[in-house]
Amino acid sequence: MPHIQNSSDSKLLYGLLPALPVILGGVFVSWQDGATLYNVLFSVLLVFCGIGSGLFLWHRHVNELAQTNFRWAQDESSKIDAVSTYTSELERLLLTISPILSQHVMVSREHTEQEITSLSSRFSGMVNELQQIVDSTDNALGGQQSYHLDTVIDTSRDLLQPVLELLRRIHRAERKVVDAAALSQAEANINQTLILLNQALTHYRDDVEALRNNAEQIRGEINNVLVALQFQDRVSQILTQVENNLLNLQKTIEKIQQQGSKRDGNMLQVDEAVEHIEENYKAVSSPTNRGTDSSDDLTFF
Amino acid sequence: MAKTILIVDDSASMRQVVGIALKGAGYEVIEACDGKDALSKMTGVKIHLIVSDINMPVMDGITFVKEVKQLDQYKFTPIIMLTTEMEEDKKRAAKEAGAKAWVTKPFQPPILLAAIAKLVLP
Repeated sequence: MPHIQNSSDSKLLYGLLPALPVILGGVFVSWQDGATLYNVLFSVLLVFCGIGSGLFLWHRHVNELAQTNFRWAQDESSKIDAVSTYTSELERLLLTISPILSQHVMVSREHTEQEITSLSSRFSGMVNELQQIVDSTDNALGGQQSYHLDTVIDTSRDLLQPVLELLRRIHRAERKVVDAAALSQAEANINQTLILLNQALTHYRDDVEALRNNAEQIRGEINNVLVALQFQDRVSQILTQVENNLLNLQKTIEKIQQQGSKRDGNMLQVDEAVEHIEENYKAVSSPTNRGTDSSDDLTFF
Repeated sequence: MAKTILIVDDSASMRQVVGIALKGAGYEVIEACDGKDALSKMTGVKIHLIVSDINMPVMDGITFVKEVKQLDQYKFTPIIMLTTEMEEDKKRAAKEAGAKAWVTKPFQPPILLAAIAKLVLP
């Protein structure tokens, strides 16, 4: 509601304007009929009536103004009281909540860090074991061993071939010395052995391939968990920031309360405080918003 | 013989994560919680590469890199900055201080390992 101005100019105008036609009427009567005693007295009476009515209206107007201003002042005062009470309640609430929040955040952070440390320790042991498995898969069951077995089989085949040939010659030359059936059986056995060896090698190669794939999958899982652990660490850092900001907020409110009625509106400097808090979070939260392009992740100088 | 890498980060869990990735790749690891702690742990050992955070208490990463470059024994040791920061100004400061690479957190272990493999001399 706008505040009504009670200036001396407005009072004068308000008082004189209703009286003016009456005064002019008295002057006009005096001028028209001549300055007889009756006319003069009548004119004076009209002037006094005009001034009187003007003063009466002015007085009424002043009273109205005073009442309006009084009501406005009462309204404003009650609003100020309400806002003041609300602010005090808010401060009280913040002071009550802030330590509790701070404590909760601190406990959450400690739990998160304990979990991360515990998880990292357990994960570290697991990774070492898995790494050993992966390494042994790569080394013991890897290409060299496979190559070695291939060589053994080929060499065996090469070695056996002349023996078989020799046996055939002996068989042809001295049919009576060597039993043909036994020779044939031996040859069949040797071939069968080679076939079995070949089958075993094929299975073995498949197993090696499967183990290699498993090892790659395990490596991928390890990497995923390592990235997840980093995000957990980021959560812990953000909780630390929240905890610090809550403590700062609590200190600021306590400072304001200590100042009491002397405090002024600029003491809190809300914009500056919010900007400071935003800056705090910006540093810890920005990587979560970055693109997935791996070229952002590594830069060589 | 396994190469030794110094990890400098104020977050214990982050040091563990980096340590797991590096140990898994066959490197030996030394950990430090800030630049000052790292400098104290560099005496009497041979360190082949340093992985350092930037925002740390006591001594930040950029100051630490500058200090390392003043040491005769380590002035040619490659340093990788591993940080959440992405600002170009910080990157420029790290480059001017003597860092060789910049890896952004959260990092993918193969990316960090690739950077290390490229910078560590055989």
